[in-house]
Amino acid sequence: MQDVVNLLFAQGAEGIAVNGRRITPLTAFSGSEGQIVIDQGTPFTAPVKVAAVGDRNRMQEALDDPSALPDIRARQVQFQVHLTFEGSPDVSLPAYDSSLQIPHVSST
Amino acid sequence: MSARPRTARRASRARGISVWLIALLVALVATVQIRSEAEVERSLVGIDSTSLAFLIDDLHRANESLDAEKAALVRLRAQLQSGQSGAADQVLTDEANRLRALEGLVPVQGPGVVMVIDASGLQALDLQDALNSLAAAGAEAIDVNQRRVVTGVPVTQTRDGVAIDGVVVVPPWKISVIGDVNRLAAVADLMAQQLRADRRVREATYRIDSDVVIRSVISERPFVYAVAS
Repeated sequence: MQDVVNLLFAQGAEGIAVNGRRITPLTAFSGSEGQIVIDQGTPFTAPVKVAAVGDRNRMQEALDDPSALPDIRARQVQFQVHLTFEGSPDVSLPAYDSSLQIPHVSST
Repeated sequence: MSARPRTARRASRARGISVWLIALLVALVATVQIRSEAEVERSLVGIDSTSLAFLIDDLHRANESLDAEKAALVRLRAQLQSGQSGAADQVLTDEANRLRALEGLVPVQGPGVVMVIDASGLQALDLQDALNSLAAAGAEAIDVNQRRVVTGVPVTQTRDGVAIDGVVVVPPWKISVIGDVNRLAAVADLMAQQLRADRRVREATYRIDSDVVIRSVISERPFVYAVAS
């Protein structure tokens, strides 16, 4: 999941949500045994829907590139992971629904 | 016929409708609540007890953070209601600064840890994993070899090595992190142990620092496609 999100950001995604959970500058991914946890959200399993707003052509080309996401491509063979995608002219992302405090950081 | 019984009938009908509306609303709320609880319950089926403990811990921390945010908002409201000249300007400036720090647009400092990883052959995925582990431990600002990293800054594999936002970062990687020192140190310790067991790794150390200074910043990129809805 981290790989897909990283690839989309690398291709200029301006906003991403995974299964309806908005990715923020502080987002962390965790989970085990097929379960994914984003920040302190509830765990979820496949199918996972990633929605991204940005340059559609760049993102689609990157997802279509057989040399991108090598780990996921390997799992497509090994575990029958299916990766499909479609473009849309109007993608809506939900707002982040928790706290974004940074109590230990101060500006220099 | 007097008007009184008609008025009484009308009042009684209105009461009846109100009762039905309230009952409908209660039923709707109950359904939403039950469905939501069922959804959460479904998502927790099969999860091992250790992961569950971590999830509960994270939830507690998120609740504490929300409590702190609530208190901050109450203070903010009081400040704004005070009507003192410049109060609103100050609030807006503070909030803008906080968001800029969160986005990695300004230099920051604070307590944290500094890790050094020297290795040959580590891949982008290894660095991504390390940064994600630190983020999961509550990192509030991260820098790798003078490159600022937040979620959204791509870490990629290139022919010349691992790149952060297109710029290759050559080992040793010095990872400076600001956040809760105890949580960060626990994760850094675990990471250092695991890395030292890796043959590719020559050095994996960390130190706690009461004042980590991160000067690197991310260049601001205006949104072209995204608009607030």
